[in-house]
Amino acid sequence: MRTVTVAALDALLRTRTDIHRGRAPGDALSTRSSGYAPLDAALPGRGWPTGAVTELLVERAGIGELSLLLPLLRELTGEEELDVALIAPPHTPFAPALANAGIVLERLLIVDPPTPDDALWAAERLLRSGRYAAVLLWASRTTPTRQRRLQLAAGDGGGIGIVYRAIGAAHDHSPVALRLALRIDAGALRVEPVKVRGGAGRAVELDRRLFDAPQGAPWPVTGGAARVRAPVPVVTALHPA
Amino acid sequence: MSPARRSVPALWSALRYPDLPLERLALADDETRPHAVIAVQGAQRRIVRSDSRAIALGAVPGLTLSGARALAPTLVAVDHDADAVAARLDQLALAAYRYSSRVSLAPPDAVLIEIGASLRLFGGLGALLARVRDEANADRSRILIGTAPTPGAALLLARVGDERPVRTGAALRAALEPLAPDALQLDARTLQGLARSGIRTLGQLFDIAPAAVSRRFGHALVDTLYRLDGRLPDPQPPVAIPPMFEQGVELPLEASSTGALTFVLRRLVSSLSGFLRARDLGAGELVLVLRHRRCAPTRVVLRFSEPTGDRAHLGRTVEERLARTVLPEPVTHLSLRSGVLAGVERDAATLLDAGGPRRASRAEVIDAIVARFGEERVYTVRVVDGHRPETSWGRGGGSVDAVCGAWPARPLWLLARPERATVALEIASAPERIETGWWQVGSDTRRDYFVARDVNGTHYWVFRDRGDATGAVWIHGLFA
Repeated sequence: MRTVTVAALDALLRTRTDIHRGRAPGDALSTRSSGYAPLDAALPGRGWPTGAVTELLVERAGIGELSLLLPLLRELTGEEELDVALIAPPHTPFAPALANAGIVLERLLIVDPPTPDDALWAAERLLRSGRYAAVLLWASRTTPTRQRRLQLAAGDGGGIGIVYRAIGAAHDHSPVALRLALRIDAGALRVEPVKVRGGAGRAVELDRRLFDAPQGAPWPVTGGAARVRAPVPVVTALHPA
Repeated sequence: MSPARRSVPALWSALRYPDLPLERLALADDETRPHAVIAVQGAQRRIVRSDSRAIALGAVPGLTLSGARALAPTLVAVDHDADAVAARLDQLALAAYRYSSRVSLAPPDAVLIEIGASLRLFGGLGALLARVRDEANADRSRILIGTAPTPGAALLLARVGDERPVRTGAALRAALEPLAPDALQLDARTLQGLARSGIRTLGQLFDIAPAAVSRRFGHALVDTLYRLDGRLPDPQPPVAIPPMFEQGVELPLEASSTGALTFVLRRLVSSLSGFLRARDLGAGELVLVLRHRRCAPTRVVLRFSEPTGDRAHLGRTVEERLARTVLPEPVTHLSLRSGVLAGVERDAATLLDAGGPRRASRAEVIDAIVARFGEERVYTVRVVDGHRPETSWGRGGGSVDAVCGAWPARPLWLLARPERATVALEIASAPERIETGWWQVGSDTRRDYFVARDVNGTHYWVFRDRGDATGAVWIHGLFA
């Protein structure tokens, strides 16, 4: 009876992607929900690994690479005593769009380091602090050694490290446990596993409209010369089931 | 365990720095040369103190400088500077306020602190003494700590190098008995008298009736003995805490790299943190002044996002900032001054888990990054009430009410300046007319904004200028 209860509870918890679960036997990864149910289902540990670095290898800027992290940033900045940081973003993070997405702007630190090396240093420093629960770094240059150091810093601090790299880096060696390629494919963002330690991930496609909604884009298209699509209830997809 | 709230018995520690005259030489990180302090004695310059490297080469105190140079050709020798040593002792006294609120000077080389009241805060005597030692090591100061129920006995133990703490009156007597009277810093006549009487230990002296001691060696010796074992009070004048912190260090060897300054600075930061603790304040701003021989002084102002008194936070921030300071010339003098001071909330718990992993505060992390990159490269963004995209955001806190979803389509990335679209774009939204600023000279904006996409699926935020007959499309942002 007792076993059944525990199993039932465990099963129940597994269906809840919004509940942070610590390490437990048979559950090697500690994660936080991405806020996108299909993505969580495809990720090992059902979310972004905490205390670890994840590489996102991006085909081009402007395909939804930051939107992918917005639900996480919104959740973390809404918590007391936690902050998040963007390091060396390629363009100005636009405050109205971030506010639209529900991010508490005071808790989002932006660092604009003078060199790629400085950017790595800042990411390491922030990850190690334990205060920054998510650190997003746009790395124009890094090495396996620097990635390992970031990984260690994330392990010390317990936060989520996200390193954006060009998709060409997919062929380079990297010590991080999870590497995902982000490509745009017929209007959808395709998230493909490049490396998944201790498991096999699977590719997942996310509709672009999921992303443009928090940025306030008026889907469906209501005018102009564009093809009009049927409306979709995009907002519900942003709230975990 | 005694019940709480009962007054704790006094316990004193004498922090003795036997290498104080040499200390200001052992600063550079890569310094491996032997060091000595010299003084003019008669017509000759003789060594008065040498460090272990110099002693190993035979350059011992008493030797003439030329003789020592013959033995140790790389010897670095500086003149004894009593003022510099006294100034350093003052810094150490301020630094000692980190451990106690009762700090006194015991020249020429020691500081007395009452630690009975601090034991609970630091987690016991062992933890407190270990911390004092660790922090002295970090500052590259050799330290001997004598601990006893009276300040005189603590100092005596430190002078003879007995570092075993003595906590009770009974144990104190036992610890003092084998010591020679020489350690008491008595005048020569009294010492001679004691020697003639065959008195070689304090134990022998304690065994003689006080009246007899007074008759034979003077009443002052009885008072000294009584203060030593606590029968007479031995009040210690406290070290005055200045209203502002300002300490400087003359560098006997010019420092040509910021790395060589790190240790000097670390010591000043130790003093600063003691000062801040004594005043129960935090530093909001610090001014670091590096003097050179010819150039104008280099002045570095450090601002903290929140006032702080934390030693580690202050130290890291100052060191980071120093590391990226460009020196026009070697440094001859360094000083640290407190600018803005403000009250801080002290967290007693942080005293106990020093060294262990702990969560840094937001201010601490931000200050370290600001110290390295400068204030303009570390910021938060906010929404401001401007209709033009360029003016609808700003840096720094204090947003206007940023309501989730309050804005129409806005991209996550805003380009620093709009770029002319060079690829075919499909307009995918109704226009949003943004038209403001016509009353502001030179900022007349009448634009229609759209969401657009290219064949690859990248989504852009674009506009057409309504005054522009060519209908050119400008990209202003990316939906990332």
